[in-house]
Amino acid sequence: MRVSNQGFFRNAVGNIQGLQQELNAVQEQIATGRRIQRPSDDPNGASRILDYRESLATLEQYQRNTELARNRLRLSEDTLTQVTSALQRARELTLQAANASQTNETRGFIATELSESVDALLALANTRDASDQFLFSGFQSGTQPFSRTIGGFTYNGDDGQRFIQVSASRQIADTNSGDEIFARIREGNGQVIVGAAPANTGTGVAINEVQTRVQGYDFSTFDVVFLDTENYEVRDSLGAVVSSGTFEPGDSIAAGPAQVRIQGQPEAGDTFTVGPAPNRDLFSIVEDIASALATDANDATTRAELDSAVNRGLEGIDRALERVLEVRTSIGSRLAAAESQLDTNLGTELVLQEALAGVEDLDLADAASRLAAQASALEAAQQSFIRVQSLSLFNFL
Amino acid sequence: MTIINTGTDALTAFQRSLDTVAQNIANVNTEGYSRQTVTLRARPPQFVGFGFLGRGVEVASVTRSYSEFLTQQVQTAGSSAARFSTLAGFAARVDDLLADPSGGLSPALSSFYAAVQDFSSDPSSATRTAIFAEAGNLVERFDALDQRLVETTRETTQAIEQSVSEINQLATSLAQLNGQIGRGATGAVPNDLLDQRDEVIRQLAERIDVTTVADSGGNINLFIGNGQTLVVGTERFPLAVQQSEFDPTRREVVYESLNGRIPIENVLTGGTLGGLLEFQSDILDPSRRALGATAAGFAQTFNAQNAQGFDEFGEFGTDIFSIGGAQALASTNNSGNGAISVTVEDLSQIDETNYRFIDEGAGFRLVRADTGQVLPLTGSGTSADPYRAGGLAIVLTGTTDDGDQFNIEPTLAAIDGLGLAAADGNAFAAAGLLRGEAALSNISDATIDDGTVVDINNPNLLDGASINFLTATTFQIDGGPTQTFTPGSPITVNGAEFQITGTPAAGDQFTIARNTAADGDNRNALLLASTQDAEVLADGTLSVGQAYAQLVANVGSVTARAQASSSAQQVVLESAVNRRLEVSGVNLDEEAADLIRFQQAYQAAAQVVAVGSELFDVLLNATRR
Repeated sequence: MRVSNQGFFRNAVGNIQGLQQELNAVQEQIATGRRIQRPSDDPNGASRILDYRESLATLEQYQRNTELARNRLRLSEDTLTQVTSALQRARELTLQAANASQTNETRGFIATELSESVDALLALANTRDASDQFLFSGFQSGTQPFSRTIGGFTYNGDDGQRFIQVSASRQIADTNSGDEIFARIREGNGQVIVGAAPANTGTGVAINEVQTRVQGYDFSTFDVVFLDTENYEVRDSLGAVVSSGTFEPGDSIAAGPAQVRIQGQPEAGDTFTVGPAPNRDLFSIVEDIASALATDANDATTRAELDSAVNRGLEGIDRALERVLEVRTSIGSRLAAAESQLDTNLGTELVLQEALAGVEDLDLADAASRLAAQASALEAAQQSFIRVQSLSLFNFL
Repeated sequence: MTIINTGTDALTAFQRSLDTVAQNIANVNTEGYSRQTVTLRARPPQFVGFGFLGRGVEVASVTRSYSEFLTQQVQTAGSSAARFSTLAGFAARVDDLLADPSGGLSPALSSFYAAVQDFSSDPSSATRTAIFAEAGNLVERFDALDQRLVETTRETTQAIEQSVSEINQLATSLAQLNGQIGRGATGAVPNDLLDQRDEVIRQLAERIDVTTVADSGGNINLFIGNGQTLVVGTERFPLAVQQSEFDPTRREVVYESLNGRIPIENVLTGGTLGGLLEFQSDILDPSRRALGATAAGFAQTFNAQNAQGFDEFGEFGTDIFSIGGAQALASTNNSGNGAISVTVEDLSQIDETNYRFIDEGAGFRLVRADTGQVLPLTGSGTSADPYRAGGLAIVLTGTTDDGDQFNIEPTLAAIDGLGLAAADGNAFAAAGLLRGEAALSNISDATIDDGTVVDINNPNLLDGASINFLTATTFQIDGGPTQTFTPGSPITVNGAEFQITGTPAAGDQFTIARNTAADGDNRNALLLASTQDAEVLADGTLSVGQAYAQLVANVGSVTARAQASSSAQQVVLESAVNRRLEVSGVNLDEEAADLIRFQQAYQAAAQVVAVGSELFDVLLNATRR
């Protein structure tokens, strides 16, 4: 084979350039720490890197969302814990006021304290979160949820509940609406309420002994009507007599879904009602107790009215406590879910990061040894080129 | 005295040989030069009675060490190598552009959707400001990428123009060389001109695939494409670059035949020009179309979802992004005055190609430009009933003549029209449209949800209503006819479905109302966030992010393939060049040896002349007496 001078130089330069390109590629990999510099280095890997990066970004976003949900749920829980204490204090005060040893004056003091606790409860229900949004007004987070109006309290929000995306497939509900927590508390036993007609003249005070809900109750109403101090009739809503009997104070009378125990002595014509319990807001429940306590009770009849109001109020507070507890339980379980989601997301993030590193990151030891090998190959090529090119017959002419 | 004649002849012959050695040494680095050798032969002898007497030496010819086969191999390999190295070089630019971890689309898309998620978790004025800023960034990123592709298109066009002008110059040189070689054809061969002509053809082949045919007059004729004559004898037919018949902003390569200019791009292959055309049609335009489709898919999906909710002011969400529509351009060759307007009705059916809409006399035909596939049209072309095929709707106005053509680019220029249609972050629709509420006075604990919109176009959608239960199982809407309530199945009111959970009681009332003041409502914001994963492209198989990742992968693999082919072809070229150089190249050691050889012979011949001269002197001295 003839070797031409042009061929010799072309080959030598070509080889050296080839080695330099490879060396440059390894150097670039080492400098950036990335195995793939551009998609053409590994098109499939490059597209997977984009996928992984997007998944990681989304996951970090879910972490942020979850933390936000957690913060708002924690704030709700703290607020509702305070609501529970305030309600329990109101319950103690009410029980204390019901004691026969209290006078009109001491009941008045208690009434004042209860009124103050209504204001405290109202302030709790109007709590704002870190970004100045009301916590308990449903979707209408810019609207103050509760305000005092003539004759009661109004809920200005709605029953919307925000959901927060905490993973690709999971949303966690944010706080519950004030409507649910504070405004819709069914009195009585949560289904049926028993009461004394305002026109009653006796001293009978009615209590429903059924403290659980009755399955299949059709919301019908019943009246227990006293014909005289001993005989009574139970009538349905159309006035038809359902049952009748004789009565002694302390007796318990079955009327529809309720078991009505009447303390004291009803007079002829006195009526005790049994019917579906209405929705009340918890502020009204407490405020009603306060205003009943503020009214003087000087004789047996007014005393009976006070006792009726206290009984109704105590039942109401119990229902409110139950409702707050229910919501706290649900918030607690969502908080736990948020915590576990944070852990799950962290785990997934680790897996994804490992996968990303597997595709993207450079094996540094391997790259360093390739760099060394290619550098010495280049050096050898350069040295041999210098030696060989200096050989020429013309040197000897 | 034969000896003097023989000696001087030999001196001349060796001088020629030395001249040739000098020529070889001088051209040791000349591209395409073939080593030349002087062939010597003994002169015909003279008959002198007793036999033949030698009459010295003469130069028979100067020949070049040449192999036609090897030379053609270098040309062919050079054409392929140039094609792939051009393709790989240009493709690498797009490749670099798309996947830059900080400059590609992905980071902007990710941070936009992160802002949407923040917004959905907490729709406040702060997150509204952030999402609006991120939307602006995303639009800018799309625009920057598209601009880079447009710049690359411009560079490619310039390179094509450069290539065409070089081809024309080389064709002129070839025609001239043909003339010079033809004129000197008196049997002797002008080696250096032949080398030059081979080199010109090699350079031509580096720019475009050529076919060479030698004719009897010593000319080499050159053909390109599928038989178009570039050079015949001393005549040449140039290529030219002119405005595309459809789009004045684009250029196309045409062939100037005797019958006028003919578009020729589709048949040109190989070489730099072939590589450039391939890059333009296989990588650049499809990438721009795909990027346009990605932008359009993103903008349309997001806008559509935004229109399903209420913005900060409790009004229907308006478009957040504007986006460019399909381009439809008439050919300048059309004789009719017809014009078409094209709408992309279903983006998921659009592929990364352009379409031709052709009047065929008997009817119209829609053809994919890349595969030539004909898409059957439905409709009549009016605005009420447009021609429809492949996700496109075409409305024709004016009249067209048989043979009139239109070029349709569904998404190529989409990003030209991409912008922010919203003025600020308040336009993002976070809230749902409706809400349902159970009356506080209800005696049952049944609840109603906030409704699911099933018909957004219902004119009474937002009117609100009140559902009154007459019994636990019957109800009236706004005092209308009595309907039966089946637990678990929804109640439809004015195009929305509401679900009542629990058992209602007689007298219970549920109100449905337009959602107002719902600053914290994130129902639609969650759906906006979920558009990130909505598979709206490529027949509903790819989300916007995935479509972009696929674009990156496609360009990456085409680039990788081009680079692999380029290095392979480079090896083929190197070995072809080496084989040619093995035959035709100059080796200086060899020339040094020849130099010594011919120098010695020259010295010897001079000695012969000297001896002859002495002999002559002896004779003269002898006859002087």
